[in-house]
Amino acid sequence: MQWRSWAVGLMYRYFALIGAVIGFCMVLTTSCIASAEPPILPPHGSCSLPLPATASDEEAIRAILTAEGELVVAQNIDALMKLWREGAKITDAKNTPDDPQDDQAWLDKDAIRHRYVRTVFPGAPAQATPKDLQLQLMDDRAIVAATTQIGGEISPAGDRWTLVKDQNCWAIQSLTYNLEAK
Amino acid sequence: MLTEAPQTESKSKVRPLAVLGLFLLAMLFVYFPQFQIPLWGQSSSAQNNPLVYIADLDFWQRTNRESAVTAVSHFDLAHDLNAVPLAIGDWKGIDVPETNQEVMILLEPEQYIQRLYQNSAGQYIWLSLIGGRSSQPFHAPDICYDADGWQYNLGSHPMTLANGGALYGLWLEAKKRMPGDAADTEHIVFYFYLFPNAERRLSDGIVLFKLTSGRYGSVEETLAVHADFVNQFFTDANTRQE
Repeated sequence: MQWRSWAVGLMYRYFALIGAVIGFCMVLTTSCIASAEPPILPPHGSCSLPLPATASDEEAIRAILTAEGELVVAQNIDALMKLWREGAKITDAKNTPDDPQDDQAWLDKDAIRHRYVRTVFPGAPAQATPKDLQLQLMDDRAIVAATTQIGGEISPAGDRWTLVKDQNCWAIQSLTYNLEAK
Repeated sequence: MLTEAPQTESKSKVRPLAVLGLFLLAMLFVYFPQFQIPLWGQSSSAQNNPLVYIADLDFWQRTNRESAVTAVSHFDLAHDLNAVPLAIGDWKGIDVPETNQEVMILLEPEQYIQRLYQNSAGQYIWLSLIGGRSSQPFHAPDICYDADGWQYNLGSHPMTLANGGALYGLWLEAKKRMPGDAADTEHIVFYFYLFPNAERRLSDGIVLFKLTSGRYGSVEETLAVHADFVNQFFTDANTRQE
């Protein structure tokens, strides 16, 4: 009987110790989680590119538009989408810049992603390079007129990009293309 | 005493190891919650419940709109899509076989269902279910509308489901002036893809769930009608975390 009560006592102490350790761990780890910093968002826009910290606004904007062309050729959709802001928009002006009635729009990033995957990538462009960039910088906003060459198709001054600087990162807010009148 | 000494020594060695093991286990569960699923012996709900499907905006690569949705009927190629209810909620449908043979030749779907549903308010919705095991049957609807001379805008929309979560699809607002018509014909299209499992292999089959209707008020109001229809077939959605 003595041996039995000693064994039961040992068992209780053993479980009490385990319970205490688990409780301690839970309190410790829960408090760690509760006091954790807000999640760090993945880098977006120009901050997703390997730019030097000293890059100017103009350098960051040019880098984004160059990267957009290169990533289209590489068909790297995840990296491409990092260049765009939430709520971004692409518009096809249909070569009638003065008539918005016939415009065609891809609204927000899901639609822009869809356009890349289902319209742009199937053409397998070997080259997509913005040229003749004309930048207008207005504080945290930029408008860029560009000539884009996708493969053999050249659109002189046919593209207008708007970019916005947010948390020190430039990102694309909109693209309007086919702006050159027929 | 001679026999107890080795036991006590053994316990004194085991106890710290047990405590250390429990501590590591607790740390693992708290800091790496993804390990909880295999440790608990659970698998994804899509594998356990045959009526749970993976829904997404595209079938090429996962998007961040991918979700696991619970359906009230089978939407996979292991089942006959004709079994999808014709009468559901306030909606009653009829089969309208595709008469354009070019569609079947071009798409070569494994299953192709085309139905016209109507609710008690007199609103119509076309339901197209296209199933296949290659990319050929899945021409993006906007490409087809564009090729046929329609003008469109495209966006995405979350449809809130009755038991929680949102099912994302792409919507299309398309219009075209038909010969001899004084006004544009307008279509509102809403669609998404369904996969039978999280692996999303083409060989396992994909089903395109596509709704087409006229415009009932604004695009948003029309999508609310589509949402009512979608809610008859899907009850809840869980967005997958990347």
